[in-house]
Amino acid sequence: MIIAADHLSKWYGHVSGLNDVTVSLPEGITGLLGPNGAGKSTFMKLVTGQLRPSAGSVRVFGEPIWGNPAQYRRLGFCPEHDAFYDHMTGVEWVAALARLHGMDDDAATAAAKRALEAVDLLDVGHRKIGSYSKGMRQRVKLAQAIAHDPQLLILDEPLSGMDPLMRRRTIRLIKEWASAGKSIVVSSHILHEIEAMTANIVLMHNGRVVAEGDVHQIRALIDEHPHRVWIRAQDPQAVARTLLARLEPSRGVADDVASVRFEEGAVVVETPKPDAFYARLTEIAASGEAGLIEEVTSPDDNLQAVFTYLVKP
Amino acid sequence: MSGPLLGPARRMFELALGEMLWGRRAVFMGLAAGAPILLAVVARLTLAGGSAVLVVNGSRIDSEAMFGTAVSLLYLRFIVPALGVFYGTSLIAEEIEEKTITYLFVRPMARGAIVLGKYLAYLVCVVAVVLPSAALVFVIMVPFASIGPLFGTVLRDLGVMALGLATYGALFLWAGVSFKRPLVGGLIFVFGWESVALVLPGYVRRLTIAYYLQPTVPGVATLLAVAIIALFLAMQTIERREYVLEQ
Amino acid sequence: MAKRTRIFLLASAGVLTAVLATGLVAWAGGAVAGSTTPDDIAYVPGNAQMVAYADVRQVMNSPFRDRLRQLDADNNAAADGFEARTGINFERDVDSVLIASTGRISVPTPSDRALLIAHGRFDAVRIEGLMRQQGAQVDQYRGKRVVAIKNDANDAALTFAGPGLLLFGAGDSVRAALDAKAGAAQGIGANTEFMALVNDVDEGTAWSVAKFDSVAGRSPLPGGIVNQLPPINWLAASGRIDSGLHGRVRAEAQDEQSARDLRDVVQGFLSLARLQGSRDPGYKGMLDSVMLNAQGKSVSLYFELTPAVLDSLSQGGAVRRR
Repeated sequence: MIIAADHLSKWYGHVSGLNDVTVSLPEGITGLLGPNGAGKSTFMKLVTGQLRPSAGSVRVFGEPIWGNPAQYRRLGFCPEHDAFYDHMTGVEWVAALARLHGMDDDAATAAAKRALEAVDLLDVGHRKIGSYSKGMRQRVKLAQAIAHDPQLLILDEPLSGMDPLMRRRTIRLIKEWASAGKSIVVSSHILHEIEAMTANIVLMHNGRVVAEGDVHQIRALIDEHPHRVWIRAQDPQAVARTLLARLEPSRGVADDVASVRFEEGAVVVETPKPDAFYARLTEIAASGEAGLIEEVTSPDDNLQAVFTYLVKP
Repeated sequence: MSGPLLGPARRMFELALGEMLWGRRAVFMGLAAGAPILLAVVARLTLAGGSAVLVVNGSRIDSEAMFGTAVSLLYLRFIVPALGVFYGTSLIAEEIEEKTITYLFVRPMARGAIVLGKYLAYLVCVVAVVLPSAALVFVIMVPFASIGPLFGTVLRDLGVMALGLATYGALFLWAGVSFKRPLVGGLIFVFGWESVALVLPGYVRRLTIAYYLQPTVPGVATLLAVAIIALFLAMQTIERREYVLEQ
Repeated sequence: MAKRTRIFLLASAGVLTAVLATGLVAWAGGAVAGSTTPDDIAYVPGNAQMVAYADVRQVMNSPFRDRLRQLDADNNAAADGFEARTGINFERDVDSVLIASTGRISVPTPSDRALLIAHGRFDAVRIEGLMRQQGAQVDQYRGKRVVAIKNDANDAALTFAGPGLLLFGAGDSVRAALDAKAGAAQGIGANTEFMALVNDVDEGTAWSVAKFDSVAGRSPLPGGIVNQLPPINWLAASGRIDSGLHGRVRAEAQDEQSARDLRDVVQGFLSLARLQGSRDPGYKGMLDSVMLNAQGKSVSLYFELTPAVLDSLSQGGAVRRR
C-alpha cells in the first residue's frame, strides 16, 4: 500500500475535518470522491504532511509524513487553491520549486521545461503566471507537482477550471503517468471525472469514508437507493398517469417507479432503476403521449444528494 | 529541526530574494529608499541656491547636521523599523495568507531552512537597498570637504542601520510565524511602544530595539543576541506549528 | 539567481563601494592634508590644560577678516606696534599659530605657563637682537639655541626649533616643549581623551580644546552662574572661516544627565537672548543660526556669522555709535 491511514482524525478547533478514517490506498490511481466539505482536502493535507493528525496516524510509503521532509522527494502535490508568485514566468516558477529539490540551475530549468511540455504549456512558459487563464494556472500547478519526477502524485481537484478539451487531455495525462508506474491520488466532486480516470474510488462524506472500492460496486451501491427525478411538464398529471399506467408487473416494465408526488408545475418521481427509468422517460417524451415535457433534472446528479442517501440511517 | 539546513536555506534564499526584489512589496521598499534621496537632492539644491543653511521649524541647520538628522530620525527611527515590520512579518505570514506556503512545505527541506533562507534574503535585500540609499544621501547632502572628517561616523551609521534591519527583521519574522495578524502588532510596537518607552525614565527604554541603536548606547551585542534568538525561535516555531490555510 | 536580481545586487554593491571609496579617499586625504596639528602638537607638554590653533594665513586671506578689519580699525594700529617691537608682521609673516597653556588661563600672569608655536617667515637675527637689547641670554638646550630673559619683570624665552618654526613662552615652558618633542617628557599626544577632542575639531580654520576648569574663570558668564552649571570636563571650539564664520562649541559633560542639564541651561539662555535680541536684526540673524544638540555626554552649539549678519551688526553698531 502506498498510503495507509489508521483511525485518522483532524479537528480544526471544535470543527471536525476528518473523522476516524481508516483506509489504505494501493498503487495506481485512486479517486477521492465527495462533495465540498467532505474532507478530501483535509485528507490530502494530512497525507502530504501539511497538517498534523489530531488522532490516529497516516503513513506514506510506510513512513510517517509529518516532520519528515525527506518524504517529499517521492511526492508531488497539486493544491486546489489558486496561489502563485504571479510576477514569475511559468518556467521560472516551476524551475525555482524544482531547485528546492536540490537540482542545480540547468537541471531545474530542463525539468521545468519538460513538465510544462507535458501539460502543454511550454509555448507560454516565458509568460508571467499573472497573465495565465484559469485553465493554464491549473496546468502550471500540475507542472510544478511533476517536475521532480515523483513516485506519488496527490492532485486536489486538478480538473477544476479546465475546458472540456483540456480536461480530456489531463485525464489522459494522469492515466499515462499511472501507466508509467506512478501512483496518483486525485480528488473531485464530479463522479464522471473520477470514473474517467479510475475504477478505484474512495467515497467521502462529512469527514468520513463512506465507501471504497471498484467504481462498479459503488455504482451498485448508489443504484440500491431510490433516485429522484424532477420533471417539469405542461401537464404533470398526464405524465404521472402515463408513467403509472404502465405499472403492470405482469408486463415486467413498471418496476422502475417507486413513488410519485406533485409540485407546482412538476412531478417528482423516485426510481430504484435510474437507467431504465431515463430510457422510458425519453420514449414518453419522444412520443408526446403525455404532452410536452419541458425540463428533466435530477437532484441526484448532485453528489451531495447521493451521499445523503448513502448515509441516511 | 530535521535535515541539513544550509544547502536548502541557500536555495530558499535565491527564490525568496527574487520574490522580495520583484514582488509587490518592492514598491514600498523603493519608496523607502528613494524618498530620502529625493529629499537630499531637494535640500542640496536649496543649499546650492545661495543659502548655506536650511531653516527647519525656525532652526537653521547645515547640511552635515541635516545628514545626522536624516540618519537618526528618518532612517533609524522610521525606515529601518518600518522595513523590519513590513518585511519581517510578511516573510512567512504573506505566504500563508496567499497560500503559496504549500509549495514550500512540500519540498524535501526542513521548515527551518525556509525561515533561514527567507530571512537571509530579507537581510541582503534591505541592506542592498537601504545602505546605498543612506550612502547616496550622505554624498549628496554633505559638502566634499566635510566627507573625510565625517567618514568614520557614516561607517558607524551604516553599520548600525544594518544591525537594526537584522534585529527588527528577525523579531518580526518570529512574530510572523507565531501570530495570525503580526503586522498590526508590529506597527504598534515600533511606532507606539518604542516611541513612548524611549522617553520614559528608568529601564523601560531597554525593552525597545531603538534604544540600542542610539550612538551612545553600546548595543551591538544586545542587538545581535536579540536577532539570533528571534531567528532561532522563528525556526523552532515553524517546525512545530501547523498552518491551516483557509479555503 | 535570476539575471536581473544579480544585476541589482551588483549595482547596489557598486553604489555603496563608490561612496565608501569616495569617503575613504576624502578621509585619507584629510588625514594627510589636515596635518596642521600632529607636527606642532608634539611640542605640547602632557600637562597642557588648553591648546588652541589658528590657520593665520587662511584667516588673514578670508573675506571675513576684511569685514572685521573694516569694523574695527583700531586693532590695525596695535598690530603695527607689535611689528615695531618684534620685527614680526603677523599678517605677512605668520602662517599658523598654536598656543598651549599648562595652567589656569584666568590667573593674572598667564605667560608663565603659556607656549606659542608659530610657523612663518621670521627674521631670527632681528628678533634675537631685540631680545638681547632687553637683557636676554643665549643658551643651548636639547641642541637648540634658546634666547631667554629672566628677571623680576620678565620670564620669556624663544627658540627656532626648525626652519620657520618659532617657540615662544616662559623659559620653563619652552624647555618643557623641547623635552616633549625629544621624548624626554610625556607629550599631550599620550592623552587620548584630549586628542580625541582635538581630532574632532581640528578640521576648522581655528580651534581650541581646553579643560573646563582652566577656562571657567574667563567665561563671560557671572561667577554665580558658572558655579551652578552642571559638571563639565572639557570644552572644545572650532570655527571655519570663509566669507563668514561657521562655529561650533562642544562641551563634554561628566555624564549624560549633566549633558541634558547643560543643554537645558544653554537652551534657556538662548531663549532669553532671542527675546532680548529680537529687535536687533544683527543679533537676531546670529541667534537664528544657533543650533543646540546634545548627544550622550556631549552638548554642541553651532552658530554662524554670515556676511549679511555682519552687515547688520555693523549697521547696528553704527547706529549705536551715532
